[in-house]
Amino acid sequence: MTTTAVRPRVAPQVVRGATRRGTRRVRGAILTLIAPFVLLFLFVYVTPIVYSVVQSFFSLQTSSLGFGEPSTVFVGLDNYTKAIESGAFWSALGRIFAFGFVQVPVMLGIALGLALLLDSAAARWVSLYRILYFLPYAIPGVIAAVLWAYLYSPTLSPFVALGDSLGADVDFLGPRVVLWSMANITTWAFTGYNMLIMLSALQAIPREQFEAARIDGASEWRIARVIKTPQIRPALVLTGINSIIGTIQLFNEPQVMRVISDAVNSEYVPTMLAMGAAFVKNDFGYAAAVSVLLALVAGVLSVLYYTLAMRRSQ
Amino acid sequence: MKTARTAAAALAATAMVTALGACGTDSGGGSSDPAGGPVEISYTGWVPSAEEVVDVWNEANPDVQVRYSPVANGQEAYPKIRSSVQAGDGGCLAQLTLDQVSSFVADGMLLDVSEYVGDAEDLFLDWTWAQVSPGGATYAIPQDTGPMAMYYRADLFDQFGIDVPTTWDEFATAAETVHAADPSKTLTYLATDDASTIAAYAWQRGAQWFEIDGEAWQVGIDDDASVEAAEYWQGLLDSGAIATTKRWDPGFYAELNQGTYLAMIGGAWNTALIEENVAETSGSWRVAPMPTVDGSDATANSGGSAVAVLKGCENPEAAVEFATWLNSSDESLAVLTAPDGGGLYPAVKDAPEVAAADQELEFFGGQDIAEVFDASAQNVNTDWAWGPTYSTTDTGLTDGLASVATGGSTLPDMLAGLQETTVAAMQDRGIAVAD
Repeated sequence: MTTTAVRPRVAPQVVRGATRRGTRRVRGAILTLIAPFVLLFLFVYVTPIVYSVVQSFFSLQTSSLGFGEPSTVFVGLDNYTKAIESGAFWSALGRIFAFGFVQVPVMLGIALGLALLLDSAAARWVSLYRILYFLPYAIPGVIAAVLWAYLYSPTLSPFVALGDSLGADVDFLGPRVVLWSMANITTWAFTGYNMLIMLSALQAIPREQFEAARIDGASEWRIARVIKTPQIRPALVLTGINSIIGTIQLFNEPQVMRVISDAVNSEYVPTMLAMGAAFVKNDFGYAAAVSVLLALVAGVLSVLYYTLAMRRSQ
Repeated sequence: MKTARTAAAALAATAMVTALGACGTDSGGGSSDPAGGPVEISYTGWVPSAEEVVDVWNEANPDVQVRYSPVANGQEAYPKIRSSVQAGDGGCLAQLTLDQVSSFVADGMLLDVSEYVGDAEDLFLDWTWAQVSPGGATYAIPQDTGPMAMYYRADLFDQFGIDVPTTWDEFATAAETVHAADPSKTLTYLATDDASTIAAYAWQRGAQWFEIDGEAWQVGIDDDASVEAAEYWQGLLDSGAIATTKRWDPGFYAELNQGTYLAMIGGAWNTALIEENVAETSGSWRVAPMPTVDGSDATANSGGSAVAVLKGCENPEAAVEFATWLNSSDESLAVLTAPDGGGLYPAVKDAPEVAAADQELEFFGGQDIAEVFDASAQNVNTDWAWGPTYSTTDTGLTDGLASVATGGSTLPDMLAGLQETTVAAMQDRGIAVAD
């Protein structure tokens, strides 16, 4: 009892002296190492968010005929009320939800399928296919959308011309179709990228497991299903979250499609709604409010998805 | 080949909007060297051949050097201009279509240059000067107007056996004839991405979308004349006699080349564009006066631009001097109004003399097309004004037209909705609107 009582009294003193000096040094090192990150994080991440939130409480006001110098006035939550009460905001949000519910599972499904094929024992020329599948991702998003616009445009598209010659009325840009035409562009652009993430996760799994399974008589299909796929769950969760966030930020495709399709208006997706508010209507407060709401939706969805996906893995 | 290239450029340029916030313009606000070096003025616009004119100026004015940056069109330029003015780096001069000037003033994007304009007012058409001076102060120098006429394919008119319609009633009959003879072709189209033509059709019938009534605005987007125009075009759409299209879609010029449309009704600035983009059909085009309401000579104006002085410009005096020279001097207008140059119909008072020069073009079978535009310019209703939130209305109109094209609305309903949203947008801003 006494020995144990004495020991802690002495030992901590020694240790404390050592750690105090050490901690100071370590603390200095930690600060030095994380400073660049923290500063950049504050500057390019936190500041714009705070600024947007502040801006969302203000609105531009003029008087009389409107040609006097406009002034910025505090309007409280008015911009948020306006967004929540506006049909345009909800239809824009509805569109990206519909898009996400269909496009994300389809894209990740294809990506997983391709990754499993390339990882299978029978695959040949893996590195060639890896590059080929990944290639669309290397094309800048806007350019990809313009490229596809040519394939969709009723007067220029070879597919429409082919349809015409076969007597079929092909329309990629109608009100019910255009969202899925955009989903096709996104899928084309990002499947390879997601496949690559999944493939690297697959290749990190120790090969012995597959051998053992094969000796036990498991088919390649069964190995893919019950051994490989469950083990790359973190990669699936990561690509899932990336895709959800990407969907919420959908902008290039609708912005380009608007030039050629009457089914896409200036408020088709929330990002276009916010951009139009800021740079066409000069209503930065409303644009900020929409952006903040959108960030909230993205945050809630990501947390929800992560919790669900990770709970099922436990 | 050329068509495809131009089309590609147009589409790519539109797409470039995406990059708007990210890339600051490299055009600094006009800055002068304190040591007495040359003053530098930046100027953004989309008039073909403007570069050539800027070179002429720079050659003659070593003290005031203009740096020109071309953009594809207003739709692309406006968000960029707005974001850079907001960021305090908007440059000095920018081309704005006349309908946008009021909005840019109301949004605090332009500089009051009344003190520098001197006698320039006397050079330009009164109504254009009124449109660049909303509320009485001047913010821009008028550049061109868009007196409207009807460009048409004489060969196809012959083929379908139709005479050039002079009234809207004759036009409707001709449209039915064409559609009945060949359902794949229509006499003309309604452009869902060109709000200015719908405004112009209302303008021609005497509509008054925005009018100052004492200390408040009177908004008449759904006034009788506008509804009349809307019902006329909705009737043609409903019977299938005309189709909708996207004017700025790369496919549009392909359609024109194929003869999908026999005629296009538009402002004078279309001359240079169709000449360049549908060169294959050269020689078969003619220009006739725009159809009118029976018993009236009134025409309308579609588009037209001004060169505006942006807030933050450090040398407004030099900027105004250049803009005035650009838009009124013989040297400059010789290039800007040439059909194979800028193709503009200038906003100066003596436009007929200036624009008449050498306009007997091969493309139009040697017709003197200037005559038609001069006559049109004489008959434009000059009381038209644009409201202080028109940039919002313009977007709403474009969205509304798209909805009409997809069957979600009709033109008269769309105008009624637009009236409501426009009044709401103005009141939201604290702008006075009369009942």
